[in-house]
Amino acid sequence: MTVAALLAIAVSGALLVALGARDPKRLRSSRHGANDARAASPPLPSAVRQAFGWLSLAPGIVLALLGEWWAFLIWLGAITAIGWTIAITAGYSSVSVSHRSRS
Amino acid sequence: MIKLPQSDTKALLAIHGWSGVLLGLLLYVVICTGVAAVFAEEINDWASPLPHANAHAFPAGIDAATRRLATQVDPQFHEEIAMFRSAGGRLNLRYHLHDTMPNGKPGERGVEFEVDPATWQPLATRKGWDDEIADQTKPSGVAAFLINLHVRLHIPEPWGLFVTGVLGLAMMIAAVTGILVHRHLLADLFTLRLGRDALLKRRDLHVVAGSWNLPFALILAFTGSFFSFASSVGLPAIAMVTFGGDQAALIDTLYSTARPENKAPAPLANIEAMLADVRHRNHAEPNYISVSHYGRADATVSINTVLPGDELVYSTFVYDGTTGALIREQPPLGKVPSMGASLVGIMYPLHFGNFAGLASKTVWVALGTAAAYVSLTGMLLWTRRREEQLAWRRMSRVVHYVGYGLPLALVCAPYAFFALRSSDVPAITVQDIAFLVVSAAAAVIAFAIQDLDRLRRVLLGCTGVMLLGLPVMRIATGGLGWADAWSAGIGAVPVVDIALLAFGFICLWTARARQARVPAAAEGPAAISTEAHSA
Amino acid sequence: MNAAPPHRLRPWLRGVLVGPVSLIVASLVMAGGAVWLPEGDAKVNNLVLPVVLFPLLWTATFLYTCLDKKLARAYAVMGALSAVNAALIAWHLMT
Repeated sequence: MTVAALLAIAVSGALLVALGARDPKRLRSSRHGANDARAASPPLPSAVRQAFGWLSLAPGIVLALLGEWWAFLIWLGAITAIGWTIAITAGYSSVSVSHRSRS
Repeated sequence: MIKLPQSDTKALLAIHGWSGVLLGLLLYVVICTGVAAVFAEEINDWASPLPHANAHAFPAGIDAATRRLATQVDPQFHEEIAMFRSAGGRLNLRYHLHDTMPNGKPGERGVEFEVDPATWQPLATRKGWDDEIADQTKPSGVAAFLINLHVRLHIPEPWGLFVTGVLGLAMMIAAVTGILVHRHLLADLFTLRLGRDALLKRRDLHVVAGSWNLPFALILAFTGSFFSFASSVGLPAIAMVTFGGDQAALIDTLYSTARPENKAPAPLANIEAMLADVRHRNHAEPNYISVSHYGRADATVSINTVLPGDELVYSTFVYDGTTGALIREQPPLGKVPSMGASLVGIMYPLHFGNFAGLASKTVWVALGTAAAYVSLTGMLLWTRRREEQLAWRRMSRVVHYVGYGLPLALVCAPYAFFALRSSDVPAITVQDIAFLVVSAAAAVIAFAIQDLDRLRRVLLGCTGVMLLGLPVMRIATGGLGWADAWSAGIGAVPVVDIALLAFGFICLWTARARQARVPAAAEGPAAISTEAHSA
Repeated sequence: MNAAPPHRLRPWLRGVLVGPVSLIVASLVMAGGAVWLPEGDAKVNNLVLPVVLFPLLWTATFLYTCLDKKLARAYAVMGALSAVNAALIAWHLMT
């Protein structure tokens, strides 16, 4: 069950990274005040974002349906911590990109 | 996410803000101490190790030790024997009876032996009521101080539990109202506008941390409130309605493992055989034994284990004390499985995060830290938005004092524990005094330093220094060195020391980092330099 | 002599409602639950479920008393909940 939990975390985590890196609102904010708007990646299309969002929850839903509550709790805790980390990391890297392009 | 009329959104935002700012400081204390208490067992093993590791809580020899020590106490204390692992792998055997305390409340009194299970040599003997025995207990003092502060803020019962229950409620209300007022919760999950207006940055940091932490915040707030309210409000109320106010009868109905009364003398069956049976049935190591009516024909032995494998709800294995035969596997409450028992049973792993050992504890600490961050940034955001008013500027200073002074006071408390370990003063008391003295000193600093950012850096810096000094203090007062601990298999000692050193350096680095980033041109008047950046 | 205008009392009335009244009502609903909830096989569900749900009960009464714009209606709802559960408890104690 540890393997299942780790696998679920890996799948959800990868999708969260994609969602965070190409989040449209975050990209708009990071382009604010920057001189070189072309440097930013294009945002994910809305349909793709929705699909990724639901897919990132899927591993947890599967664990819950299988009654693997131990693994579900580990997954839930891990992905919320991962999500916050992604948000912080992406936020601070956007600041440094914006400062570099302004200078 | 949820579209509400503007008037409702304003009302909810007011509830969110005011519940947070009025109770946030105390909630912050509860959360920070809770984060530390997740590793209570490791902290106790670090602070008070034995010279050798003990792989099992109840090794061979427990049966003989139980019988030998039973001869050393008044037979009235054979009513119940509780056996459990204590700091550093010590084993506590508490021979006691249930009685009414001088204040009229039900309690337990008896004799507790602390032994080294590797040699079965007695290390300490303590006598009296529960609270008196707890005061005499030294090895687990560091974690006991943290847990006491977390569970009841050192406020006497039952008010302490009620207050922490209210704080848990405030956290739940803040989480629920936060969901309702945040119309773009999902769209904003990755939005951190850090390079722009300072207030916007502070708002985004708070909102993003709060949004990601929502599931955990709701779980911890709900379970924490349950634990606090259950004994302070819930059980007395239910006992009043269903048992005429007799709480003992209610507790007996919920937890009893008793058999029909039979006072005829009968020897206890071999405890080690029952332990072996539990290990075989549950594939988990026992961590608690309770013997009822030792030496009588109606004796029972109840054994709990750590949560096995991937389970979340614990069971109690109840044995016939005279034959050693299993009577039943009992849920957390009642004698047969029920929804109520399962719900209560799941509260423990959800709150303590100890269901998967180090993995779950680490996740719980990470998310608990996030919850403390949300609490602190929320108060800083609230006071920053109102800083044109003198009262809120003063409140901002108080938030800085508590936010950065509390960790400092918590880190300094164990210094007193190590320094006065061999004194007769209870371990919690010496740490209380140290905590209050350091808090007072931090208050003087908070009053003296006008610039809030400088105040933050000074308090963080002091915390860093004291963290670095803690392993030194431990070793200087007779604690195990790393080489001795490692060779004895006591991993907690070097690991916790290294963690303290790492956190100490992080605090010092964080305290210095802002100095290098003092704004040269981008930001503006002096007011900006007094704002406190979140951690 | 003029009586105090009602609008001066409203914040106090709201405060009493949101504070002690919401707590008392939640406690009464919890205690009342022990009377009508089924015991279950283990005969503990009616004792335990109300205690488990108490934090949610108080959250609900707290938020409702904060958000209902009509103070009189909020008092009426809280009063009705109190009366029903108090009656249940009284009936149980007397039988």
